[in-house]
Amino acid sequence: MLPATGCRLRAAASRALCLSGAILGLLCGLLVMNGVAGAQAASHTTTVSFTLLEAIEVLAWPSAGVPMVAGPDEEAISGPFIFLVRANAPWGIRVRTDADDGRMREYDPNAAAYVPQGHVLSRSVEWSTTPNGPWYTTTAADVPVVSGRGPTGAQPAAVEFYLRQVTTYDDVTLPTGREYRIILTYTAGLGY
Amino acid sequence: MVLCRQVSVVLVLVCALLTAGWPAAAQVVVRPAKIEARVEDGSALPPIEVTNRGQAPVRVVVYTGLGGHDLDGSPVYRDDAWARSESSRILRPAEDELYVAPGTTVPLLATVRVPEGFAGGLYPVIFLELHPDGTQDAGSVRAVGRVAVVTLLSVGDAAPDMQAETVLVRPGQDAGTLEVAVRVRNDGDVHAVAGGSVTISDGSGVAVAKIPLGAATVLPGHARELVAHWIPPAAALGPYVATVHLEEPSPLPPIQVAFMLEPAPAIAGAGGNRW
Repeated sequence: MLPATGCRLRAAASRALCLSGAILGLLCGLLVMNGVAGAQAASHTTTVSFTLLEAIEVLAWPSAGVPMVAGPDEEAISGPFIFLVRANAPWGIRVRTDADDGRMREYDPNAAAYVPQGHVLSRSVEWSTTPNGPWYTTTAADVPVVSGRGPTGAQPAAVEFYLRQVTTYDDVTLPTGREYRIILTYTAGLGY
Repeated sequence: MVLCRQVSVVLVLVCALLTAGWPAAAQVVVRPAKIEARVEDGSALPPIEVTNRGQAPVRVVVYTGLGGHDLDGSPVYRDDAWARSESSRILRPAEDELYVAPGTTVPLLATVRVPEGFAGGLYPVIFLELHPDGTQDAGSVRAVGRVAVVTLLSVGDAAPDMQAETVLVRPGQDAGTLEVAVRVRNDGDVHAVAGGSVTISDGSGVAVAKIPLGAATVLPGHARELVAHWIPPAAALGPYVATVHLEEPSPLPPIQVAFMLEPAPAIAGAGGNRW
């Protein structure tokens, strides 16, 4: 407004000077406004905090039911069964059985219960993370299959798991409709 | 390298599918899987979200037990009858069973009950036992999968009491490396993070390395091993001293252990006592 009124009364040569003055004024105004805005921004900050939850994801577990067959003085090995885990903190897997000594007991599927005073295999079920052992006896106490594993990243970590049952002539075959059975409980979780 | 890893994961997945007669448990995500909180009687824990990323519905049986840890921090679970009873007095999940349809997330709420006048740490564990629909009752070895959610709950004014029990200098897992392993014990009433550093000095007393001692949580009544890893220079030989500075949760007097570096094996003789 101000430069335009004056410019109309002057020669063309002075128009450029007036135009330059207008641009300079505009720039000064912008600078002043920018300074005010800058001062306002400095007094208004937003702090963003983020808490990443510690999580564990189990993509695959060993089979829910594993049929094992062997003759006396033989060993039956099943596997590999695979755990696939993703975790963003140290993690581990533990295993235990429902039998104190890890031995399979006579089971009645029709009654869905172990047979009271039923037969028990002479040797415990054993586990390993390789097909060649070393083999560890399963017990009713949780024991680590893997422990203290670091965060996996986006790619899941795979843990192989094998089971072995050795039988002897001390073991008694069961009548039709009965079987030897044991329950393994796998627990996946983060460390402390 | 990345491609190899992806291929190996795919192979493992295929292997898993081939060997699985039927799944023990569907794909389930649990978050948070670890909860640390300051609580009082009646406090609600943050919701634990159970997400089913599998194809079949999953029934989740919920119960509690007690937690502890071994030297490397791996959890030690107790869910016998006594532990279940004791833990259920402390932590009460709102549900004892959840039904999670494929692609859905179900929150689990739990409330803390603090014994009157109690101050210290409480460490219940929430177990989520997974039972996918359609699981057949067959096979001589039956399997049940479960996920444990560990909790570290602090109540009132309580303090840890961290002490160093032993210090060992031993060969590391990688050839040519050394580990300084410090076993710390918490005789206090609440958990705390223990940590610090180790200074390695040569025979003339000149410090040649300062290594962080991996910080770790130690529950009351538990011990844990903190480890510092050192890669000695190729020319390092002769007597050395490792000085352990435990600085967290509160500074302790330094502990020194003398050891000898020999050409092979990497270390000969180690041990020491607290100053």
